[in-house]
Amino acid sequence: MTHVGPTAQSTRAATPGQKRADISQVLEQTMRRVSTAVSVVTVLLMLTGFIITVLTHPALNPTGQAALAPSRLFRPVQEDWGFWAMSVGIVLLALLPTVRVILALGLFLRSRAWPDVLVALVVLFELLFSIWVSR
Amino acid sequence: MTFIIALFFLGVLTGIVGALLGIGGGIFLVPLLTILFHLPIRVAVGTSLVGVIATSAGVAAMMPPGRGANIPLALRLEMTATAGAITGGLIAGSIAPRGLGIIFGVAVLITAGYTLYRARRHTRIDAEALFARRYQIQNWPLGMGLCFFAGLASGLLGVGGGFIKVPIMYSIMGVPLGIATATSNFMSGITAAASVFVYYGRGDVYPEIVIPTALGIFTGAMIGVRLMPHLRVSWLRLALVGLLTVIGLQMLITNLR
Repeated sequence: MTHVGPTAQSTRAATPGQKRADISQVLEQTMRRVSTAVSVVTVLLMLTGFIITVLTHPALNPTGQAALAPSRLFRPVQEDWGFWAMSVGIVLLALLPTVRVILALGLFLRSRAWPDVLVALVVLFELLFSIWVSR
Repeated sequence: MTFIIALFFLGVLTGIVGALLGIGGGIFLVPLLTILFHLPIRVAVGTSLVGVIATSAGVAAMMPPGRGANIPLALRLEMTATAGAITGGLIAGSIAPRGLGIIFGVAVLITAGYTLYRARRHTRIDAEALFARRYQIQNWPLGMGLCFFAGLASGLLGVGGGFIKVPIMYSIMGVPLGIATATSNFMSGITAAASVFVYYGRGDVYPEIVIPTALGIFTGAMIGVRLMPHLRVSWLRLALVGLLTVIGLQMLITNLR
């Protein structure tokens, strides 16, 4: 398989190689936007939570409390806000790779790149299986 | 507070090296967190897995257009790598850690030697580009098979496995080094995601340790991506071979003692 980089373009009718290059270009842009958005939200949540925790608990004990269990993330009012923001930031970051696979799957589906759809589905299934196994 | 600042700077270093070499940084983050910071191994692994995902996210967000990962290639290789990571996670408890360490130490040293040998042969033929626009991907079955073992290492040792994936793509599959590092960063995030929730659910992720490290990694990844276009392939390759040699020797010495 010869890979044509996303910057290589031509004015002629799209060949399978060019179609693949177009998909790669769209994928690259989408992944960059999503990664930037999630990274910004994650960093803001982590930083805010960390500052609140440092201000409200001056005596930090790094191994004092593990991140909140997933079920507790849906009840922010009942939790320490700083700790809640830090835990949500970590979970959002941990979910990013799965979101990126789902995005790739969506773009492959739109472009009718069936072999790539199948590959993305297999990886997504494996990721969901790993979450199921870890329960 | 010194502890927090030290974690931040460890994160910065991990982010820079991770962005430049296409590794998540878990392979040296786990030993450093246990040796220097005296953290329990499971807490170190949980922190490292979040760190690997942070490197992957930071690099993907900062990579200039045309220098990102080859996502179709990444997903194809990730089919076997994720399967390996799940298998590794499941069998981790039933294999002697010393034996594992020796096997991986030897594998890492062989990879370093092969990367160096291939580079010497390659540079005689033509000049290498970090981000070539056209390239022929070779040895698919071997590459995919070896990625299963990269995933297995990830599941067993709690690392992203980039230290194996970059040499597989670069040395065996013929992917240019810059694209191999970006693709490996993308893949390492997925491989780490396959096991991070196990550690989160088990209570091995501590926000006050993970957050200074992750924030440092984001900063380091930004610096690393900015540095990458100014570096030569030969420098990056030398750094990769050097890192592999140190890791391989460290694994062998630790487990043969």
